[in-house]
Amino acid sequence: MLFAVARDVRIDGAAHPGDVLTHRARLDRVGPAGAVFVTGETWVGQRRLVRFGSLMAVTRPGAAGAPSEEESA
Amino acid sequence: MSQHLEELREIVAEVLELEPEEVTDTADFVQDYEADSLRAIEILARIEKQYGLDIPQVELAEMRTLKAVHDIVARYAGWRD
Repeated sequence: MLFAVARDVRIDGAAHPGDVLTHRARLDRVGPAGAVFVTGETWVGQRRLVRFGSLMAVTRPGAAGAPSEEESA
Repeated sequence: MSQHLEELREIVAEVLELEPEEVTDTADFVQDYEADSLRAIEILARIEKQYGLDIPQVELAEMRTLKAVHDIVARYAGWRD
């Protein structure tokens, strides 16, 4: 799965080492080519850190993300 | 000027991160705006959501200009623009 696009992202706070981030995602719709569109937020405890107006993720064959022989050498 | 065409121009411009006036009717999304397949999918998804349509993925290959997008969407939406 490939994270493709994030739009309308609003950052409300900062995370720090040791924080446990909770991501709450709502599946908005499944679009063309199996692309999924999600809205959601990231929280640390009762503090909301980020709001995502729209995230798009797609699936691609595994080889598409694998490093080339040159890259992995 | 077709209201639908202008609505589509807004959608395309937003996805391609351009001003609407920069999106011409006949400019090629790939050659002129360096759009990739992910942008094309996003454009189609936004159009489907806005108009409540289900456009076959096979049409993506033809949706390379604003005019082409309009013509294809008009066909599925039954517009008479």
